[in-house]
Amino acid sequence: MKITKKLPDAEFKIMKVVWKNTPPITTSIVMKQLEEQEEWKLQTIISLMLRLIERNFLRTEKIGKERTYYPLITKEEYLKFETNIFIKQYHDNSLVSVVNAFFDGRKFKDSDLTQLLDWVKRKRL
Amino acid sequence: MEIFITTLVSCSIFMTIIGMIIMSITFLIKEKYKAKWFYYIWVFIVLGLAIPFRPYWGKFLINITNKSDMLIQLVNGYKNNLGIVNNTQMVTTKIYQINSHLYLFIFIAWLIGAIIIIIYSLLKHMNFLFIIKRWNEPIKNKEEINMFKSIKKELGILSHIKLYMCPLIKSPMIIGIINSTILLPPIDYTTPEIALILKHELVHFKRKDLWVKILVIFAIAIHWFNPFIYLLPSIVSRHCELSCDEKILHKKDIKVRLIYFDALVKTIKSQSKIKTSLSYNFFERSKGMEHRLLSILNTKQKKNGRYIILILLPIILSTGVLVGCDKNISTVQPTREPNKTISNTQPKSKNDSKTDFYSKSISKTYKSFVDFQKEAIIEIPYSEQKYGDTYSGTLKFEEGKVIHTTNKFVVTYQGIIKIKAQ
Repeated sequence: MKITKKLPDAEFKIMKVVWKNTPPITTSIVMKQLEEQEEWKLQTIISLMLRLIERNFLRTEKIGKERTYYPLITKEEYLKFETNIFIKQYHDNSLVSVVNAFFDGRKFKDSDLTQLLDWVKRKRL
Repeated sequence: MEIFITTLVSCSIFMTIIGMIIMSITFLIKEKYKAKWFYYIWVFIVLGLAIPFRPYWGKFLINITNKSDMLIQLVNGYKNNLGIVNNTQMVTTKIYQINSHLYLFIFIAWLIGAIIIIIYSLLKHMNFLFIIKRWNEPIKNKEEINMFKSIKKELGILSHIKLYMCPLIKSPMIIGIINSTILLPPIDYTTPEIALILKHELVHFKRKDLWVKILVIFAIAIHWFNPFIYLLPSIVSRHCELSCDEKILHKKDIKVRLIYFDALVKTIKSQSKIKTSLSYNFFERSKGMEHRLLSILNTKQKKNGRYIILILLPIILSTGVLVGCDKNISTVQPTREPNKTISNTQPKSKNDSKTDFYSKSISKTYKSFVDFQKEAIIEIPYSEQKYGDTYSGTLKFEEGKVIHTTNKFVVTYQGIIKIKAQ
């Protein structure tokens, strides 16, 4: 499944709970685990999860009376997707950096880095 | 407006020249002196750029002359010599009219550029914080939390600093000025490596390095027209990291240095996996990184470079004296000294249709330099002088005593007018 769009914050919070638990997941599990952070009603959670089904992030099954959900996209897959966007946005931008990074490789090309690592290897011998 | 622009541009040019000189000096002596001092020098330069207006210290060595003023002076002098006096006024008027519009236009363009850069940086940074926040995970490892606390104590930091793991980032970092947070990337550092990394970030916090970064953005915003300013972030951050490494490894043996070295190499390795099509590869190449890695392993004591700052500080401050702006004189009212008002009446040109621009009379308060009871020397800001202007003055003292003068003065481009009270 290809991810095309970044998740909005509310849906992301739901997905975080989904990833944390072993499927099948029910709305009551999500509700319980989000209780501390959000004051969402059950209806809100159900509609958010419906939207996630539309986005192909979740799949749903009905066992008896209870509706259960299964993740279609793993946390790692989604993380990879967001990391790529994040790097694209901040990799080429030296203008905006109000952070102190231990090593800021944004100014480096890949070939420069491999060269550097070669140099390190030679130095350490 | 003209003064503002000329001051800004001259500050930009002077600081660029100073920066270039320092860069070449740094290149020659970086092995001998402590990285700390180079960093401080650059902080001073950033400050000098971020605050382009220096306090006014009496007279300037060089007065800014803009070309059009020279031109008018030349044209006028030439025409006066030839005896064509009548047309002179017309020429002057026209040039000045164009000038004032042009300066306003330049000012607005500058302002728009500066605002765009500030807003852009702000939005980008907020977006950055937003994305990061989504993924932050609190660190559960008790050992790391305790270590973090003890390092904080060791450095004497009392304020609350959060510690998170962020799977998005590729290098440890500290963010936030008010709500400082240290973020660790998903790299498998060893415990001693993490200790050094946390120490590194906490030293950044203690030295208020993030404030310097904000100043850098501010300097870029106001000097955006200077192409060299875009080199500033990488230069400053390079010296910042070098001096931070130096502080942490001060008097440490090669064992500790090797741990630090490995931590840095691990970070580099994690970033080399990133594939980006567009990469910033301008001036700063892996050479700088090699230098950083080498200085980590270098146990030799370096010389203190305190006197470099002592030499440099007056130079940076003097850029304001060398190319000063006269604006301060007319805007700052003396508090103790008596005020003097001098009104400037423009001579009417014989050609009446052309006098609209010129016939307005200005009444302003200027600060005088020498003040005797009956005589004052008044400096008229350079930009406000127009060739052929006559000034008639009224000396108004704060006590309420008013002395009228009937002297008329013709501006001679010296910028100084003498008024004698009668």
